[in-house]
Amino acid sequence: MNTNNSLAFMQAVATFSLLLCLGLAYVINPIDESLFFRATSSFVGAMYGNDVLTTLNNSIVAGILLGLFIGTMYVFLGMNKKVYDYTLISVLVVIILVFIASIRKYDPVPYEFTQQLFLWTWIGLPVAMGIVGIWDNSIGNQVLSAFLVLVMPLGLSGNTNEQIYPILGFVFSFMLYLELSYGQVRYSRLARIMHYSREYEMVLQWFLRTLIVTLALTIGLTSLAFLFHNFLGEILPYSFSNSIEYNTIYGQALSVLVFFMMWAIVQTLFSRGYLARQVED
Amino acid sequence: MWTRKAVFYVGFGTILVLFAPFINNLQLFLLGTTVLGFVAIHSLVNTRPIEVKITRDFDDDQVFENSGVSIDLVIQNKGRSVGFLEIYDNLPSEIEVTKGLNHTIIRLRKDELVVNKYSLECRLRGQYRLGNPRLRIYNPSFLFYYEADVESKSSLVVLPQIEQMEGVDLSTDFPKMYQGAMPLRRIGTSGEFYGIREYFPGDDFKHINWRVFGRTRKLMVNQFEREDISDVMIILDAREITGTGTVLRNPLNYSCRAVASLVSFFLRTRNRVGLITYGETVNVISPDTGERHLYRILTALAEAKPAGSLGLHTVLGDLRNFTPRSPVIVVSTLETDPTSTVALREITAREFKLTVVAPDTLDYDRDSAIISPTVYFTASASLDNKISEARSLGARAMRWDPDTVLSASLAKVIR
Repeated sequence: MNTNNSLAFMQAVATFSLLLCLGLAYVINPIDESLFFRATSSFVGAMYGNDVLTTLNNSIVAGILLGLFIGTMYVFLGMNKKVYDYTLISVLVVIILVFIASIRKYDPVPYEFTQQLFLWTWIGLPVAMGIVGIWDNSIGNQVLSAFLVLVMPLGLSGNTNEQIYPILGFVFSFMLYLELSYGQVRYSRLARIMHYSREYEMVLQWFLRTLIVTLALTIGLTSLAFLFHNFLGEILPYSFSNSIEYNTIYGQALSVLVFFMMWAIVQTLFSRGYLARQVED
Repeated sequence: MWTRKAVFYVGFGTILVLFAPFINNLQLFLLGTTVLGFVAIHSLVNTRPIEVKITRDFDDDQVFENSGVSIDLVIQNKGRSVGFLEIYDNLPSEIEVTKGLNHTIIRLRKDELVVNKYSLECRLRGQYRLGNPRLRIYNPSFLFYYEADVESKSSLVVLPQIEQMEGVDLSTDFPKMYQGAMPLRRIGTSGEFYGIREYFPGDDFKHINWRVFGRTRKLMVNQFEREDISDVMIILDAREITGTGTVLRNPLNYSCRAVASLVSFFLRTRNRVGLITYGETVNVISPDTGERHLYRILTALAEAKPAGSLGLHTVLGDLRNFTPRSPVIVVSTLETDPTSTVALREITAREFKLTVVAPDTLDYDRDSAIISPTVYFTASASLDNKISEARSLGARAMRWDPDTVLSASLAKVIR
């Protein structure tokens, strides 16, 4: 595999991870519980007097596909400035015309269709932005897309251990998306400087291998951090370990932070020696 | 060292872990924990100390301007395996990389040896220090990095470019005819045969080649090689003002090239050549001959920097002991030097055969908007006046456009 292929592979896997994590995010947080889409639904319902969300509850896949289409089209259009400009102007003109027509009580397209399209566009927005981020090497778009993936499906009902498998799948795919998309931008920039040399390809292969191993180790460490909560429960006084605060998610959060604080202290002690050795070098 | 990404990850992870309990969201909580765990794991990947030795091999450590030099950067790993090692060989800004890269990213296995080859083009004379190479180790996800300089310095001397000069007779009319005289491949009065030519009235009868006459019935005379050895002193102006212009195109650089060409020419024709440089201080290289002496002068020229404001009169003391009636060549713009007129008069008064070469970059400076048209006209008129003054003293003086060939320009004033 040469450098270009490796980078393209990273982009493809990052795109797939993005689709997967967005899909899983809606599996974990149903769309009708999402604060964002509740607000959207209220807005659209107030405009048209029709409850869209309940009728479009199962449109996540459609939204993701639409986002995929919009993002891909955007990337392709970006290759030619003229075509990009004309297409953007045409789309804006169509949207404005439809809006003006609806104000004048004339619906050239059935309003159900525009509502659906509107909703799907919102659902697919993180995907569209993420694809632009991945394939156009824009870190800003990647960050915004990751933010939307986290925030848009968010509701107030929360989730529990019953959904642990979709949550683990989400976490893994989300991390994979972040790492591969960001890594792709950084490594492709360096690849251009290095003229896609064979030596550089070895560095890239090393990154991909290490990423998989470190993600696996991270899951192990996360499990350890969770087990640390139980360990703390055993060594702490009975009154504390059996308190309501300790046995809720707040207690778990505190245990996790204590675990990583201890890690940081050990790491700092270790790195002091490390720096000293570097100076000697 | 932490990168911004690592700081962002830790902040993001902590916020998620602290915020998720408020909305009872296990998904965000787990994500926050995983992000913190990811940073923790990565703090151990490719961050341990490394032992890398770097050496630099040249094909030549003394090169002429506008020529290339190939460099092999030998990177030897003596410690653990390194996944991402970025090496940047520090080069002076005056040196340009023409082939390959002085910047490389490699994976270095234990005890592995990698050679990074690249070529440089040296466009400006000078004595340069290459190195130290800078190392940067990143962990694979760009969360941590460490930078260090590896002790590996090399020096590279870029000598001024030499123009091959022919047929320029700047030597004295009073050659030294004592011990050590060397025959030159020019027409003269030595015993060495040079060639024959037709007889003209006034030619000495003893030089008629009778054997040729017997064969051809034409009067031909023998010509002999001229045998002389001159002491030539070249005076180089290295004042601060000679650095005016761009890094590449300024009077001092052109002066150095002119001096290098003249020195090479005179030494090739078996003369003894000395060099006096004035500017911040006065440096004297006594007249001598030979290739070693040539490189000594070229190295001095490579090191010449525009500094100071000493006038031409400061070299008069060093000329006092110089061989009388020998050629003295002043390579200077003579700009803003109030002592130049007196100094030139003094040099000619001592009967040195004076030649003044004034490298003229004023046109270029004006076209590149380095100087204004007003400054250009003032400086140009001033230079003309200086040249006229020198000529009135009996010196051969010229404004030399560095885009033209020096020997051709000199030939005009010698005529």
